[in-house]
Amino acid sequence: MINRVILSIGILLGPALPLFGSDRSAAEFFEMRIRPLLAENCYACHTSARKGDLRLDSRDGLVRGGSSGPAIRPGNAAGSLLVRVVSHTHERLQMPPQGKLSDRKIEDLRSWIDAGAVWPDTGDKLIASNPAATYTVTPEQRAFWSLRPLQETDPPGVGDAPRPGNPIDYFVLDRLEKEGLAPVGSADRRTLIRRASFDLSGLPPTPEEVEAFASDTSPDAFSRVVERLLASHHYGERWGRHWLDLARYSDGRLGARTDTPYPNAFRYRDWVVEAFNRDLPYDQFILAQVAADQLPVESREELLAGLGFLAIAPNLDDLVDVTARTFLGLTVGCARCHDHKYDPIPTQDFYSLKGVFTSSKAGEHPLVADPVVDAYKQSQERINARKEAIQAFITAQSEQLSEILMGQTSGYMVAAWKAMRGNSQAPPAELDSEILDRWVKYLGRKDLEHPYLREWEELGDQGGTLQQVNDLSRLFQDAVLAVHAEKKGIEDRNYVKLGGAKGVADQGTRQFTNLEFLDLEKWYLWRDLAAGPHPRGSFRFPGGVFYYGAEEGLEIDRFLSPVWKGHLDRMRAELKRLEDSAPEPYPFLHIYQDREKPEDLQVAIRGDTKNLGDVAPRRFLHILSDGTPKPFTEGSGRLELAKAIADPRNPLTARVMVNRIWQHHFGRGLISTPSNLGRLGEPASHPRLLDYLAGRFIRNGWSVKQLHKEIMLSAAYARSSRHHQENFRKDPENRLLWRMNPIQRLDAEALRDTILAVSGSLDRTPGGPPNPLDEKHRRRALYATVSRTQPDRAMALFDFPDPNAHSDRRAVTVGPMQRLFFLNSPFVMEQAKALAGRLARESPQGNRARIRRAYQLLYGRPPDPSEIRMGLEYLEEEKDPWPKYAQMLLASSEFSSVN
Amino acid sequence: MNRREMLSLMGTGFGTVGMSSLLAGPSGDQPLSRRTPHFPPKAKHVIFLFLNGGLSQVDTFDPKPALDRHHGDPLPGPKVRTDRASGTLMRSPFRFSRRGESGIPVSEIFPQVGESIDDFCVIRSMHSDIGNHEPSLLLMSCGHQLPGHPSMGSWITYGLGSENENLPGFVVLCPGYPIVGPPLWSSGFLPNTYQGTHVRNNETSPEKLVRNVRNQSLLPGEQERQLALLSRLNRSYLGRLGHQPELESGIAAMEVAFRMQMEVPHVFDITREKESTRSRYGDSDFGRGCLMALRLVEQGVRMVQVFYGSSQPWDSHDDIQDHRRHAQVADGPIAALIRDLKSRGLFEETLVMVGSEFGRTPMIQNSGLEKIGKGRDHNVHGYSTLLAGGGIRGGCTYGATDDFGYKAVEDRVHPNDLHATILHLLGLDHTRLTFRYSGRDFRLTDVGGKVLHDVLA
Repeated sequence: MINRVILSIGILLGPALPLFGSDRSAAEFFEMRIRPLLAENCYACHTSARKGDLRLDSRDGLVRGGSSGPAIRPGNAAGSLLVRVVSHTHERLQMPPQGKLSDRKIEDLRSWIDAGAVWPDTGDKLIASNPAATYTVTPEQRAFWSLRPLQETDPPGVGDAPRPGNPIDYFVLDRLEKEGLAPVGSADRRTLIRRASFDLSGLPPTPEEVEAFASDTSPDAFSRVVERLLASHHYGERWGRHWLDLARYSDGRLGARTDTPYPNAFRYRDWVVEAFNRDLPYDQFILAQVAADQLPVESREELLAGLGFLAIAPNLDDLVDVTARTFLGLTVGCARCHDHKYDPIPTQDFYSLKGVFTSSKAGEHPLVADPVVDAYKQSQERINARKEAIQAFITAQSEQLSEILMGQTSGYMVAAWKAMRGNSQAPPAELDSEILDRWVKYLGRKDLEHPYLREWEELGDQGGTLQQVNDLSRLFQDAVLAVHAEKKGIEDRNYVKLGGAKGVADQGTRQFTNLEFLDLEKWYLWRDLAAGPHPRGSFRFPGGVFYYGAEEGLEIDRFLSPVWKGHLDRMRAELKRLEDSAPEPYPFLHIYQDREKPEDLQVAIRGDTKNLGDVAPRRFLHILSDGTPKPFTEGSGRLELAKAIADPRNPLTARVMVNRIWQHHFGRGLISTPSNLGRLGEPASHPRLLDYLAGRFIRNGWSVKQLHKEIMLSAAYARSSRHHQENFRKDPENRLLWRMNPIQRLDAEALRDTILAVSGSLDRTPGGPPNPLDEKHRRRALYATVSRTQPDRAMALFDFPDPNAHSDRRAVTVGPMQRLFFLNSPFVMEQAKALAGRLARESPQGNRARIRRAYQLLYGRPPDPSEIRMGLEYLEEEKDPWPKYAQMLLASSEFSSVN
Repeated sequence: MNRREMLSLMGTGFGTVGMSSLLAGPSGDQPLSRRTPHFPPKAKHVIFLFLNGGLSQVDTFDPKPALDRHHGDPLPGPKVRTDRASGTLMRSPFRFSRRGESGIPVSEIFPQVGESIDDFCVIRSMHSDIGNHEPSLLLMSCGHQLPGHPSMGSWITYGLGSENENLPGFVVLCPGYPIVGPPLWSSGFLPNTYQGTHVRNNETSPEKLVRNVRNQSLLPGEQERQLALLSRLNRSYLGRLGHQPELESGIAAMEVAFRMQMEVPHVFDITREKESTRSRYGDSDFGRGCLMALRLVEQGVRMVQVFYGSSQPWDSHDDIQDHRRHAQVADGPIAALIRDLKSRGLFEETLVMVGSEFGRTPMIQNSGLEKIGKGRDHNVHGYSTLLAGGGIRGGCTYGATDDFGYKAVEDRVHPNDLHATILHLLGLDHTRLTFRYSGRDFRLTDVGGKVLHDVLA
């Protein structure tokens, strides 16, 4: 019996296949033939879905069968239901529904069942673990510090000492006292105003501002400095940029090699700057960036640009993560594939939020009247239609030419053979000399990747006779034509598989469709002769022997008869006319809006979008809701989401923002992981202070400027950054704020802006379209183009963050490459020259006065006598010394430091 | 007086107040000073030749005869999920032959590497976690699939310093950026001094290779006097402030920058090599990168990471024959580098690694963008990496993939294991090379890593 089976299968399957000689080969047969067959054709319905109560993913499942009885009887294919069903001989059941299996596959099944239906136990079962649909946040989890409601307490009294500073200081001093540390004294006034100026404007104070403040002894002198700085438009430029780090702002969308421009992204940038300048309440600021399109009409107009936060994403897959990190300080993105390992964020929550964003889409809001938009769009449509028509025409001509030339293959080969042997006789008139040249070159190649010319090559070495050449070239021509015909057949079938022209044009569809292709060697043959050029990517090809098309140097024009050529020329002329008369692109805002039909997403189990679990209703996070969160009901739910974030009862929102503002004043937040207030984040150094400020922030109508004032008017902010041995030993990181955090290097923008400011070259015009950060760029660095693929190298050198990701802290790095920038870069050299010129103009009285002026401009203080001496010595010894001296003043550590 | 002596003299001597005297301190104070490893090292330098995009193991160093037999059949076993639609098994279009005394089979597209295969240990059982370039590049470069972690080169220079403080300790050569870009050589939360210095090796003039490395307008002597002034300015500032470690490292960086101006143009200038040497590396960015790597290591740079090219050249989704074209470029320089390291007495102290972020499927990728359909998709389940040089047992293979080269099944090696082994060869215990950040001790090998003792000499 067994022998007979082996024999019959051997005949059926041909010699290449493993047979059932042993368990091993039976198993191999199963793995090679049967499992793929079942998986491809049956698993969609007969695994966990159990259509007809039948599972086909185990031998047991087959033997047990479903509602129609056992699917197989091992050893008896003829008596097996499965065989009758797939052979379409069952009166009712005919499977699989997508079409009858091939005879060979049915034979495979028969053979396998007859041989006992061997199903090797590999231990793998289909896993369909589905993250729990219901999720309970435990009381312990809710008790985590950042998730508890704000714990507002009165500022503590501090011993019997008179209370210095404002309530912030009571919290700070209370901690210092408990830990046995005494704070250092205040910074001197020049240091303080320099600190405040850089903090609020990213620019240094002018010498006049410094001196005015230094000599102003009135008690509200510093408060007036702060007011002045907050009122300057430079304030928004500085703090708007801090926000843009979080919003991963860029002027383009991430592409493979270059950015796809977001031409109006700058309007979001300018809106953010303006929002800070006019102290837009932070809750409004949130609503604008998540759901401005759904706000009441009266506020919509001025808030709509805020939607750039969502719309200028590097790709649209980061919205959940960026939104949650930016506003809530939660790493919800971690829950994409599994429940968050540390924080109570189930996978469900990720898809609940993601559903909100996928029920919305990026769009544009024109800033001009409809007819202007229509005129532009129509013009572009006409241009595109014309381009497509030209391309289609050329493609059709190109293919026709290719086919004509294929039919002349033999003729060209013979002529090429003659030419290669030095035959100077003119080629036949019907042959084109350029194409003949291509043939000569091609036939001379030794690195062909297909075998169709192998006999030809052998022949070539021995010379060959004309008769042989004729014969071989005809054979080759037949091969070419056959391959071409085969390719056309394949293309027709792929066209169907891809679902027609739409699928052909769609990258995604192409990537995930099993297509047919020519065999490799045939492909190379076809490519060498007929393919168009492929200039980019890892696969590069200059264009085939027959190829003529639209590309430069390969124009098909000369093969076109006058009528056709005239047609093409007219189409091109028309295109040029359309392009020349096309209206300028109209201005618009990058916005977000709801889709017509909002839809909940299913959870992608382990992040696998092909393995979907339960539906995740669009709703807010569990941990920030009482019990199970209520599903959103208005459209996509974005406005409900925005309101839930901006809700004063949300324990995270105010804490996160207060901490960010503190961070930019002190160089480090009360929480040093500003976008992670979860369990992996660092706990707050001063939790009571944080909650106190958060509470004040909300009660002050979410006013950011008010918060700046409170922080900056504290004694803690005004403290010196002096070293103190005893304190340093106890608290080297200054977590308790016994001093101002020492030496903060200017960030990339402040550094560049300050160089321009002191040299007198800074153009302070606010807003508008970005420009490349080249030598001509004299505006603040904020207004330079931010690319996602081509980061500006000088900015990157000084730690400008990668705009592809939310950045909650700038790195501060120090290295020789930065120093080389100061020593040798044309930018610094040129600005040093400008600075020298400015000093000469403003202090014509001589070196000593100029040095003094320089120190005041650059460092905000007068030089001491030894520094003047140092300068004079240098200036006296050098030729044309001022630019070189000015350059070193710029290169010095003091210039780029804030104490 | 040789160059090095001259430079060091200048370093201590320029200006009236030498910066070095300001910086003098017990060795170890300076971030790039040489530091003692945990135990005696086998190697001092690392050259990582990164064939970015995904080197197909079954077409290069891991031949699978079963692919020939089963060409056109589906991969046995349950249907596997690949990143794109994958089809049936595809035989390698390349022939393998046994090479060297070890008889390790090498694909015909790497004839010269085959010639020196006895110098290499071929690890055939690499596997990693996620089949996209970004996480895999990060995992291979930084030991972690998310950005923000220090790169291997940063960890190594953090652990060992450099042999030459006038050059960056960790140099990255790539004409543009590979996918992911700078995070691949980031110092993450380590001090930034350990960040890789990216040099665009498609440039040929040294001034263009390293930006701002040469002053275009100052006369000889002028800059020395400028720097003497700068040194006094900074000292004066430091004197006003007192103890300021951040400031001191900035001043130290200035001194290195000054000396880099001397040494950098010299070390990157491959025209200083004999024509016969240069010709072995060929006229390609990668070839020049390999030759620069040789020169950098010779000058004491701790680690050089050479990316084969910008973007992801080895990502042969459409046509595996692209591998032949790239191998034609890569083969010669790799072999030449091994040979020249030997002739310059550096081979024994330099660890050379050749690999990529993942391998490729033994199946054809029958979906595509270019209508070719003769390529292979990404595969993180099994791939090959080559090691040679300091402390490596040459002429061996380690681990194995299954019959089809799809999945590593024997002695599986995760990038964490590879990193642990590299650190071990450098005299570093990967569990002890740690940095405290965000309340936790981090290390290159995350929570994994085992040293592959079988690949050691």
